[in-house]
Amino acid sequence: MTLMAQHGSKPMLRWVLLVIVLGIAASPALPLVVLTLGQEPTRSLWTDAFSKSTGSTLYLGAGVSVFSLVIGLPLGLLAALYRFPARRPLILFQALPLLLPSFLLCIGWSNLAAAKWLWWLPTPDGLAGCVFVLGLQMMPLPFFATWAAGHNLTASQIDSVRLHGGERSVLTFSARACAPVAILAALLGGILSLSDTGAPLIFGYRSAAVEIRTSFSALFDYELAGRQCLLLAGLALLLIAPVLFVGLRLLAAAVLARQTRPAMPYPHRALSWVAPGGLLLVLIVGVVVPTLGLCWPAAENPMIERAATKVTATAGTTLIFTGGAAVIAVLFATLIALATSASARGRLFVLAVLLLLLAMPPALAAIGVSRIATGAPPQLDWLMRSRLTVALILGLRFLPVATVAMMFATCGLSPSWRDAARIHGVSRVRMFVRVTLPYLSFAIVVSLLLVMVLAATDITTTHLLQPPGDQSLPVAIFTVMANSPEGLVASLCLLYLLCVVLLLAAASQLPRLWSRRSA
Amino acid sequence: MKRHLLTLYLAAELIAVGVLGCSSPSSPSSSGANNLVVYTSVDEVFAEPIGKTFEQETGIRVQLVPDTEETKSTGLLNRLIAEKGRPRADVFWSGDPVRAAILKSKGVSTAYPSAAAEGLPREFSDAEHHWISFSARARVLIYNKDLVSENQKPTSIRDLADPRFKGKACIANPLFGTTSMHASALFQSLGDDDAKKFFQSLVENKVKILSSNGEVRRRVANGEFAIGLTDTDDVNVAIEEGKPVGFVYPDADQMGTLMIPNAAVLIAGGPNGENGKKFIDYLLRPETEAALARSEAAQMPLRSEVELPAGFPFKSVSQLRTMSVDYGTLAEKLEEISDSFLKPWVDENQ
Repeated sequence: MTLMAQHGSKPMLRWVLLVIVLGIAASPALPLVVLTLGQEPTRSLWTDAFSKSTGSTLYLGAGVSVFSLVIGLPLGLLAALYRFPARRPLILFQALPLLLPSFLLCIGWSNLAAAKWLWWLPTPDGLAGCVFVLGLQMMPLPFFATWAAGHNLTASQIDSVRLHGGERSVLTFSARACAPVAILAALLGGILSLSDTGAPLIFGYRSAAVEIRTSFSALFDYELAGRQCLLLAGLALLLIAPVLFVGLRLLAAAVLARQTRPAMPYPHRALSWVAPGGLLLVLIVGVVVPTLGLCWPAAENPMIERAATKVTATAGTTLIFTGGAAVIAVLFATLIALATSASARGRLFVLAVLLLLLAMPPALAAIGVSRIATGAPPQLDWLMRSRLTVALILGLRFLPVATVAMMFATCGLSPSWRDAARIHGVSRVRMFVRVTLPYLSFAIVVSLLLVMVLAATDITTTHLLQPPGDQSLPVAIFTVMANSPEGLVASLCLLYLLCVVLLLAAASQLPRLWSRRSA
Repeated sequence: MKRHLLTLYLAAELIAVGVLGCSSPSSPSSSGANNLVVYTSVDEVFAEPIGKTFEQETGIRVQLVPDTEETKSTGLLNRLIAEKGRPRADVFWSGDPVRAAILKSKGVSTAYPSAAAEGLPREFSDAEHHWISFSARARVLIYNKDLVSENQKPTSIRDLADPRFKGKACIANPLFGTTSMHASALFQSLGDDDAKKFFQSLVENKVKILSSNGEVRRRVANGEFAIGLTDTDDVNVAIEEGKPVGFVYPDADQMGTLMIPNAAVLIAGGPNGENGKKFIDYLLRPETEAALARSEAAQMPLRSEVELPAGFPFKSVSQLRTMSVDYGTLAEKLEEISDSFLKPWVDENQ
């Protein structure tokens, strides 16, 4: 019997809610999917080129997942378990690679490799180059997932393991406990990289995303592009389904039996230096080095004033698009997480659907929405052709990321709390406002930030849907980088990075403010 | 206190949703007597100043939607096709006539025989006035002066296949952008067999296929490649940045250099059609051609009487031997060869 049944809630109502939310999440991609399935194909789908590129894409996704996991899991563990200097900023700034579109990172590396005095630097190229850049970019996902999971390990668990087997046992035990959620996050990263065209185009790697782009943009064959998207998404889902199934079960087991006293960071002599060293190294390799490559033209020809004008003109729109997307994603994700909190099968089903949607290239949904909007009456333009549309589609695209974070948080909700509330006659609404929401608030803030960050880097959706006159900063950078002086592009990138660093610095003060006010 | 913080946070969420919900479609004013929406595949840095001066002179507010490097010439085109039933754009300012011709074939554009086109050579424009060409770029060979001496510099696009540049030459992906137009022009000019042989010779000489013309410029300027095929505006950016590059008008004494004129397209059923016509008239004026010549794009005026600015790095169109192509049918040819030749060629060789 499921927990849901045990506690007398209404499973049917929850399933209806889930179907509605998933229906909304799938709606942007539906028009092209329906078009795809309803038409007689004019071109062959399974060509040699597409089969090869599909294989390449799966290698790429797997490579990115494994690479990000191999770096993210141990660093996340060290960050969660040990006390070390500059701990908070170092952890927070691990989010930086996610904030830069892969296209910029690749150009940064490419510029560096071309510098004569850096002749010894290996040029990133092909599959290895893509995995290296995208793996480092996606590393924050398993890192933060592990860090959050490590936080949920109890003091008694850690203390007893430490007493029994020392630091090595602590690390082994923690790695086992955090692995399911880290694997899940790394898989998300791998899936996100499937639709990335920037790195494969620059490093000369033929991925399926490049094939789909060709179908869209060179052959103007939406039907072919739609079928390619569906095939790729289905294949990815098929391959990750076993991992997802096992991962979710382990995840549920890992987080359901939880106590309220978390383990405190431990001041270990050696590991307290290994941790910041590792975090710093990843930051330098993943962000600082490619950023130097990208931005050094600014030193030769600074155009900060011209770039600042652009940043000022686009800052509001960027905040509206990304902030709106974050609010929408987190609202839906909270609903989904609460509706599936007591059902492992429900979680599995929801994640499967959401990952299928995530694996689809963003252009599919964006073009689909454009088509619906064109056929819709003008009275619906506030929904279909506005800033809200951009925020909504971005929010729905990154709903899986927010959902995983919120599911993880809701797994810790104890059924006994609800029982106690019922016995004392506390209404569901009051229970939600007084207990559930405060408990989830940290996860909500983290999810909001994460979705904001990811939404900012989704150039395709924003570019294809932004209303005339509204331009976000990342789209502006991409727009000017073709033929603008390198100094301008570099100055824009520098200012963008500065904004991001300021945002992260402000976010780092949030927990401190939170705890001070709570005291 | 924590509860208050949470209430504040929830309120902020509601306000965010409220702000988004209340935001009127397409920024309140994309339709109205004083507004105009222009989609453009021309680089924003070049298009924006023209939009601004139009705004100042006419009082009509221009909302410019530029394309990005990642989706250059194709992202907006898809958007225009998807929006065909109820367009948001009034004008498409295309960086090349092929995309304009595709819009015509998809029924997105409408004819506008502008009187302002007086003096512009007709061979660059659509006979049915769906698109009218003005200021042009040229397809040129860019070379790195540190790697290629003056007497070794290329003179023809066939030099991309010359053994002296084996493994040192690059082109952009011929499925996209102006390189696709160039491919189509080569098939039209050389004939299918010779064009295929030319592409095969590129493979044998290990010519690298890069993602965009911008990347060709960047990597030749960096010294990763000795020569490449790109557009004059890219070359001008590299020259202005002081990179060690030179350029050559290819085949100046044979089949000629391919010109890529801008094309102004009036969108059928656009929300501000009359303003769209005024903007097209503005684009086609000799003054706009002169302004584009002075811009960082250093575009070449199609009218021979437009004076070139001092220090203009390129020749005027009339001084060049231009490649003889039928611009009206390039799009059809491109559609034909994209499927039958270019796609498999790129698949095999990238």
